[in-house]
Amino acid sequence: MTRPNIVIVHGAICGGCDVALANSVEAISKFLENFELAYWSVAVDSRLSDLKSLNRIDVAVFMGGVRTSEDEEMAKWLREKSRILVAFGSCSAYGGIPGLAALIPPSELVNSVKSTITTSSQGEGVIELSKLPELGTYRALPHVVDVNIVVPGCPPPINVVNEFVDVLLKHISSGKLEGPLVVAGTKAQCENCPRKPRDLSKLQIPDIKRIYESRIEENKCFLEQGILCLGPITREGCEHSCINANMPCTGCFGPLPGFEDVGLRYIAGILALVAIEREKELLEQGLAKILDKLVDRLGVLYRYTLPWSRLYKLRLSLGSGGRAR
Amino acid sequence: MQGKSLVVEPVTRIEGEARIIITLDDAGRVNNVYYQVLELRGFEAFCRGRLAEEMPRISQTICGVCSVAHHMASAKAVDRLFGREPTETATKIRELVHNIYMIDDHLLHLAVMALADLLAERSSELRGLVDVARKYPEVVKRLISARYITTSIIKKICGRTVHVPIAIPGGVSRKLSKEDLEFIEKSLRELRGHLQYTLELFKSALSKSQRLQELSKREDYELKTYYLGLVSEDGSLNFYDGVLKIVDYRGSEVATFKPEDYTKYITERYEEWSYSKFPYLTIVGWRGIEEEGIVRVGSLARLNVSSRVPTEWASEEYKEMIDFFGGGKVINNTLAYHWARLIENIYALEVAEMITVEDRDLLISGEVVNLEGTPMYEGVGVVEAARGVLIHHYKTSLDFLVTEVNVITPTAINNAAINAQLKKIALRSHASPLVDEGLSSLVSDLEIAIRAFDPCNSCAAHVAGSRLIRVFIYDSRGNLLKVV
Amino acid sequence: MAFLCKWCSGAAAELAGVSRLLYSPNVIPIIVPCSGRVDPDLVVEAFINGADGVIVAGCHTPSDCHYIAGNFKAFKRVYLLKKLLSDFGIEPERLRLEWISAVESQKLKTVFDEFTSTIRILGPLRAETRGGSV
Repeated sequence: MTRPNIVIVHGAICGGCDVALANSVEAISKFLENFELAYWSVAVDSRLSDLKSLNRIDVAVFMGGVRTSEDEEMAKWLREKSRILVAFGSCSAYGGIPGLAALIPPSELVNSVKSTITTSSQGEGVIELSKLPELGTYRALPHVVDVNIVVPGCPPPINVVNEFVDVLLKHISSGKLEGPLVVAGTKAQCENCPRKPRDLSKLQIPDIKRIYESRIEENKCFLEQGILCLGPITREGCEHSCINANMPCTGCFGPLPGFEDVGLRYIAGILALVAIEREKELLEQGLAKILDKLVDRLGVLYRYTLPWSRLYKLRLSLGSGGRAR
Repeated sequence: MQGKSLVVEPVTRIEGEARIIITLDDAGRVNNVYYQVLELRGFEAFCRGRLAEEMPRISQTICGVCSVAHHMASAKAVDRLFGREPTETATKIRELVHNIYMIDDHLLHLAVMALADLLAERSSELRGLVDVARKYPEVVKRLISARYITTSIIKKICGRTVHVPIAIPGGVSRKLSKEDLEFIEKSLRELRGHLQYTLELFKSALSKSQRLQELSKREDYELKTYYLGLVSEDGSLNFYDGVLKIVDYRGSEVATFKPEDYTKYITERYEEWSYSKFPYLTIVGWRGIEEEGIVRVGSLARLNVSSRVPTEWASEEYKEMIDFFGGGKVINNTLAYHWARLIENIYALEVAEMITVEDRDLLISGEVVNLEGTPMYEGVGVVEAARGVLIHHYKTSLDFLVTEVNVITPTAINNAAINAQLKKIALRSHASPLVDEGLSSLVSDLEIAIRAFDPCNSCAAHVAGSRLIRVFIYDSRGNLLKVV
Repeated sequence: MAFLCKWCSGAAAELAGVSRLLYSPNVIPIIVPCSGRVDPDLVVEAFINGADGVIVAGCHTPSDCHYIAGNFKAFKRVYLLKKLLSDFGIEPERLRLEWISAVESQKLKTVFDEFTSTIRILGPLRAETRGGSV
């Protein structure tokens, strides 16, 4: 009986998801016991031609966002060939931090490289031989092809990777997989947060502060300190890793089920409550001044999920026009 | 005019992805080799408009293998732009985490990427981690245990193992508890045993393997380059702080400068055929991808540049390595990078041990952050990442929004050297790439060299992303002959 | 699309109707219980589904809101949403917030007519003539 095979393939990666796998020793041993590891360039010497010559792929794990034309081709090819396709890591699942480049024209990305303070000279002539792959519209994997499993996290922590392997083993023998199945909690970070205020209905968000303004208090809800924590809109599952290090959640596990657009939800539910006890005193002008302190909306609200947002979808549907930012 | 194509893809067991292009002349002999990095994520562009204090958390996603190094370099640049000198506690905590990270990164490279090259009895005998685990299960188990320790320590302090959150302007977000410290001390004791093991493993492999010994003496694996590294004021090895020093291949000092003056000493060249640029030494000038003009960074470079290794055990091990390579202070053979990494593990361990002993009180009871300072709105932060010198440079607006970003990663700095090394090996190779056996032998030699550098293509392509290494072979007219 | 709260601006629309005040037929009114009910998601969906402009109208601050402070929530949401639209390369002028009391039917007409011209000048949200690409 041949074991099912598994391939691990890269889009626009940083390597962190490979490390996340390598760090999850339990998961790796289960992989190697139950699957044939047919392709993982980081650790195994199989060539792209070996990948392309596989008759069938049982599980394809895709890491990284879809940035170039080659990434897109690979994603589509994998979907065709594979039984189970996994979006592994926040880049693959939602776009990730490189998603912040999604609104920037590719030519500007290239120019930003050519024009740094230390870049002074330019080589001549393209070696026609091997053209660099073209940069296309940046997208999360589920917006390019259907996926069966989503493993969020930047990168997915060990407990999530272990859960992922268990999910995989459960589904590999059964036939169809209703997707996408997200390997993360369905409740917000706040649900089990060690700093959860006793009475959430009395929560006050006094101001909007940046973390350099004052000492960050341990054991106190970040929102109560005016620090914008994305916990209320983010799935749990990471065991509050950043919060335990006394830093606010920045949302790498992605939005709660039923919501796609993190920014819109955060504005509706949390930012609308800023200075709630002083509205009639501050009036529109005073409230605007506080809201103006959120100077980097994209970086705070959409750090991992910009390509996933409804506004991005709207922007793409316009086809052209307007300078973003 | 030939019409056959030779392409090799990917180059395996490196971080990220890239492509090798080999060009042949009319007689079918290699006349050039190019190492091409393939994707673009665009950090220099999309970091504009970001909150400066968020840069340590954002910029580290340039790379998930050396994320801690990026976090620290970024933190130092952010300290500067806010004008805040970090507290002693914060500095010691960052230094502790950074040194543990160095060990973690070196071990990762060893376990997942280099082992197959080092333990193979014949070329291409072991095709990666799975093969190594089958043949040498004990070795892999020990390395896994060792990395379990390093990742646990980082997680204890930072809450997570990859893409850590702790650095803030002027400090860190938390200090250590007594329990944290006890855990770390116990872990370091265990780690000592594992690092001893890996060193002995390497040395025994070296002494038993004719193949390895040959490689370490081969002329085409030697590159007489400049070397760049961070050193303490007294010239000794230092991963976290200090001044930058350049020496030539004989060990003569060429320059020493402060990190904030790096723009006077490093210039970058953009080539249309790769998304990774080519940094070079301004003093030397760009001489093309020729051995004499280029600079190397990383573990071998650090040992070459520093005047001494300031910890006892590591400096003994270093002496052994110097003796093996003929006694000269500067070692130019690329394979020596592997040995240098293992020695650096020892040094990093000893530094971590010292911090937990000498700075114990600072770690658990000092001030974590300094909120005072006169903002400069510009800052440079430099650390040694596992692969070499890493530079983060930011400019901001008056409300601390990033306006400009310049990041120079060690793999980018080694870009020219990697190309030069490949070219040297390929040009001197007797193997004919047009024949299958010849090609696989050539490719194997090339890959071994690349892996010794431990390139991190996500970093080199931070401007971008990456795809597996492929080797494309072209003839003199530009016809693609083969892809492997 | 115009989201009108039933207590104030919605009532003004009724009054406009009864008074035979003609306003631009381009505006499609939708009555909501409170301007604070208008979710930013709803506004974006309106744009995605073809609206070229959106108006949110509620009761005057500080004290006219039937639900005490719903209008302040509307203010904060619209304020931030306009900035987000701009961040995504969409003209923030396509979203407008107004306070219109139940008797201000003339103001309602003026706002609707003015907004329609503004949108005419800006052009349709989706236009072949827009340049540049993401």
